[in-house]
Amino acid sequence: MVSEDEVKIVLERLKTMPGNLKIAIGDVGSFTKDQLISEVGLRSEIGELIVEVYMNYLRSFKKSD
Amino acid sequence: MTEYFMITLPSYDDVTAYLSQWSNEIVETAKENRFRVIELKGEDANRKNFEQRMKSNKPIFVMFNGHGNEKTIAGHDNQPLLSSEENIRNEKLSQGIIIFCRSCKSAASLGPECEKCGCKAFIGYRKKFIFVYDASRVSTPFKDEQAAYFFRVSNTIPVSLLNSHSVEKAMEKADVQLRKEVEYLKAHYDFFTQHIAPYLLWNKTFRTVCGDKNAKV
Repeated sequence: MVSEDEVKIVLERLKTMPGNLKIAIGDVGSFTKDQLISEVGLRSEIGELIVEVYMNYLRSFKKSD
Repeated sequence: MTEYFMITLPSYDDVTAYLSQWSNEIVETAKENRFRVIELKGEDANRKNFEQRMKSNKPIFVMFNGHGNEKTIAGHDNQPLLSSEENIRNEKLSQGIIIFCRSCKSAASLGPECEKCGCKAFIGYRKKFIFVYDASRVSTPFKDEQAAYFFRVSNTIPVSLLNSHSVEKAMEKADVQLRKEVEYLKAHYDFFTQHIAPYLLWNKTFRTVCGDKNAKV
């Protein structure tokens, strides 16, 4: 379960994503910036996965301190 | 003695097209190292062909590209090639070999099941295998500079194994390659780093080895 703060952090990051990029997530499909923002906003399964991905990355900086 | 290396190369959607096109380096490495290479391309990446070639050629290393889930790795059109729910079949097919699955979640249940069935080592991902690509490059995946970061890292694993390194060494080399890719991104395209590096790290975090880490092809 992702927190409200985590969702906000990830949404801000996604807003800066270049429009030409797509994220391929196995057989679920490929997602554009706008679709990712929508999925995260809805907190769908894909949205929560994206939040987990970004938070895993951000936490890695804390671990390496 | 000639040893066989088998690779599945389904190509029926954007994801499988990328996985397959980025496998050329792996096939070339296998040939350079005098492996006989069995390429199950496109529609040939089906259950019948897979089983036949496994039985007749007995490859010592199999790499799967394709969609998957906790229990299954698929070939063309999502046709299951290997499933954790087929113990006897798995015992026959995976015994004594090394498997690398470039697919989602296969190390969650299928990997441990193959290990139980005598597979020397199973390398896969416990969660989704994710990559970023440039939407304007779907017709030429190999020219996609954004996807390249992901495939250079994941290709390091089979390439290292085919160059006689152990599973553990192949993992280390993939980690070194990942650090190189992120450093390059930071130095040249910092703007892209925050949208590519999280997914690179995700794949590394959930990459898993079931079985003997000292195993070699």
